[in-house]
Amino acid sequence: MKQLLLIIAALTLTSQPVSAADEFQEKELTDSNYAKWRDHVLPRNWELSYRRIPWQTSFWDAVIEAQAKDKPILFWAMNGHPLANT
Amino acid sequence: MVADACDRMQKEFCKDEDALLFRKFAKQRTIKNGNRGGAQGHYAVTPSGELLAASSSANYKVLLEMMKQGLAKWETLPREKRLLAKAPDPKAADNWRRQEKQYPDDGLVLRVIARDQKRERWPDSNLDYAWFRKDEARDLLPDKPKKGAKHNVPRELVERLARFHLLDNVHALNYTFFPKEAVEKAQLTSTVLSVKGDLVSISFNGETRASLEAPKKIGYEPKLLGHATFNLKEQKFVSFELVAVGLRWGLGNCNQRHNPTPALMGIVFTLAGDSQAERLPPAFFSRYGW
Repeated sequence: MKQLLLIIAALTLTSQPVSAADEFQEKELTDSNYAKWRDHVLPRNWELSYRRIPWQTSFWDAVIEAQAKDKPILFWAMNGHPLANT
Repeated sequence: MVADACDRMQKEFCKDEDALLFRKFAKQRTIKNGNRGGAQGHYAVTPSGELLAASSSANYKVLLEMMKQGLAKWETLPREKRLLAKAPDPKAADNWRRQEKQYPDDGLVLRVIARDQKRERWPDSNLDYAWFRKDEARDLLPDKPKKGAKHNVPRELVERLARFHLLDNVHALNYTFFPKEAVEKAQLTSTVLSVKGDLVSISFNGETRASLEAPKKIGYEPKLLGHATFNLKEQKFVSFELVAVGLRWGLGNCNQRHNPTPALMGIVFTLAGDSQAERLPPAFFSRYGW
């Protein structure tokens, strides 16, 4: 149940858009706006919430563990790995 | 809980053991609303490949309901239906996880984040990884680092960034990478700012341009700036930042870009951690030629 709540919290937070990205006005990259661009591109904490879930990264590893523990599997499948480029 | 790519597993010709199991339950799925395409989505399944429940929605309420349904069905199944008759073989994965074994433990692994200057819609950023072998990482700075020394990073490394990492994947995985002949500029210079003991501080300055006319008209022309710290004794980077900003144009393959008009896009490279998720291979790793 604890993990279920963690997933729900993560997905809820991940679904929230932010307005800061809409306000970004910087143009060409320069030494003076370097930090602004970097901070604009890097993810906010709420965008990383889904990564706090202790996902296994291989379906087959999950099958092996679930078989050993007699547990069901929650599987998030995407074209491109969901925890990387998807 | 597991997250994994299903591109390979959903192909009918794929006979890998995980793929055979995946297709067994993916085929049973019926999605009424919000299908993301192909077999993508969320599944609750048994180790034996019985489908308990499924969804293809990004709505957390739908996912929650799916999990509840899946757990309820799980409770009704006898053990022989829940589990495989024979324990799955861990070594079977050697057939399809060869790339992971090439993770450069003693090299450089970077997290690559892309985002538009102006957000068109959510999601508006994506993540990938870039790998460098130990010798390639060392090639990012001068052989004999001393303050003021400049070094042209080998073109093949900059070209690799331009072809496989300086891509428009902001909204979704872009299957269109740049062939070698599409790279018109690939230049990156490192300059030693200081040497303090074993630590070499460097800055990066450069530019790339990659442009493709067919089968897709697409391109990206960023300026590159950054800085990093290299530990000479340990022969590895202890800090790393590289920021790319420039105009992107055109539409990719499956990248969900709907507006081809040139617009600014930023891509940032930073040091990755070493968790399981941070060890995932780059999307186009098979093209690295390692």
